Amino acid sequence: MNAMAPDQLDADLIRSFMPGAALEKLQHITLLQEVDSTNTALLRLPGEQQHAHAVMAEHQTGGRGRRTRSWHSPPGGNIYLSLGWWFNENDKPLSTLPLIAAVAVCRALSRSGLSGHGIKWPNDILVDGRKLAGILVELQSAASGPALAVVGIGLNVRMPAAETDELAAAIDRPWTDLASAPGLAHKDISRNQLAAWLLEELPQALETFQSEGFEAFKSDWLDLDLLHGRNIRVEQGNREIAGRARGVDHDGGLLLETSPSVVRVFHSGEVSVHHG
Amino acid sequence: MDIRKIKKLIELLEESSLTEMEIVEGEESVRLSRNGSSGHAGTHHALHPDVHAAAWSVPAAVAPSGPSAPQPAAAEEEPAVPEGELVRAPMVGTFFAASSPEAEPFVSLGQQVTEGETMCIIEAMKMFNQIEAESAGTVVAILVENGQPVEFDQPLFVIR
Repeated sequence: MNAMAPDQLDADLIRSFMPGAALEKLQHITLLQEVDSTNTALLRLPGEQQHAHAVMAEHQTGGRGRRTRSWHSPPGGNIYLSLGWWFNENDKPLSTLPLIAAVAVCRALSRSGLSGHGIKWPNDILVDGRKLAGILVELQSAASGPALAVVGIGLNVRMPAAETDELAAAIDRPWTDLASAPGLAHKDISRNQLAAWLLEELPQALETFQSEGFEAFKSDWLDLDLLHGRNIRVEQGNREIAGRARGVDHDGGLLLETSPSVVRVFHSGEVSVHHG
Repeated sequence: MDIRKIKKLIELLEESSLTEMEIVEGEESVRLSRNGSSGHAGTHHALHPDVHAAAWSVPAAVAPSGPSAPQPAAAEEEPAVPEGELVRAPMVGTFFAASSPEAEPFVSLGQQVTEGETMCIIEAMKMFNQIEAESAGTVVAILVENGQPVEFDQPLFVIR
């Protein structure tokens, strides 16, 4: 990677794109050239440094997705960002955080001029059926008492061309990046500007959530719901339940109409869209 | 099966003269049995969903060594679990005993845990919540199975 390459991440530049009120909500921006995973790096910090701390990296060597999945994180062209946030025990049920983070990321993406993006329950961000951004929220808490949330975002901005990057070619699901997304007015979008939008939208959303809960995000989430009305399957362990997606409930649980007048709620499970 | 439903069943059993009852609902079944004959307040019931039959047995009640050791309020609400500190689910989701399908469970029965030690993961909406022990002690009961859905506030472990 050429150190003089344009669009290197630069914490000062990111700050310069942010209004004062947004900067006040953020304690630190840590920028790393290489890290195993920005979520892991945040979890390693001492407790008093984790809140409102953003960790970003040019390259993740062990980018993590859900459970045993990895998030392909080549250097130089994408955004890998984690934000730490402490919640106290009186805050709203935290299980809706992934949905709230997805709404915040979509708001940041809309500011870039992107259109046509949406959310596949609970928090995958897709354009034209292809994954553009992934979110991994991790919580650390005792059963009661305060909880640390780490909101990790992997946003594909400029993925290296597949022929030069065997790993990208090997990603087992359809994916895309901002540079090739339709509807984007300018292809030379700055990663620093994108990071600034994310770091403005995310803390704002987390604060709103603390005072108002998921209720404040539900209608936005439903507007972005890519599954609504579609025939889907929910895989849970070795069971698969088919039905029609009907949005989410007040807890962010997926509503699935399995037969007329029967709607079931899912809080976990793997969703696939049933074509045809 | 919903934890409230199980509590109802426990109440039914308590009011009856039965020593055992089993309820089958679709693929799930719960067998409740009255254990021991000792008097009024200290009656314990073993709760054995069939998927983890004999996962634990109810230890004999231990006389508190200190003078008037405080009775945890939770023990009143959940007569089906052994005495001790309950670790409850902070949210609805799926219970995972280990960090990955190949990994060893975070804790096992009889193990000593220290405060802040990770005991399990609960997943909901693709969010992973590492549940830490609030106090040090010995794990005397594991009340849920790997991969099982759990309700908000459902007891997961008993630490003593």
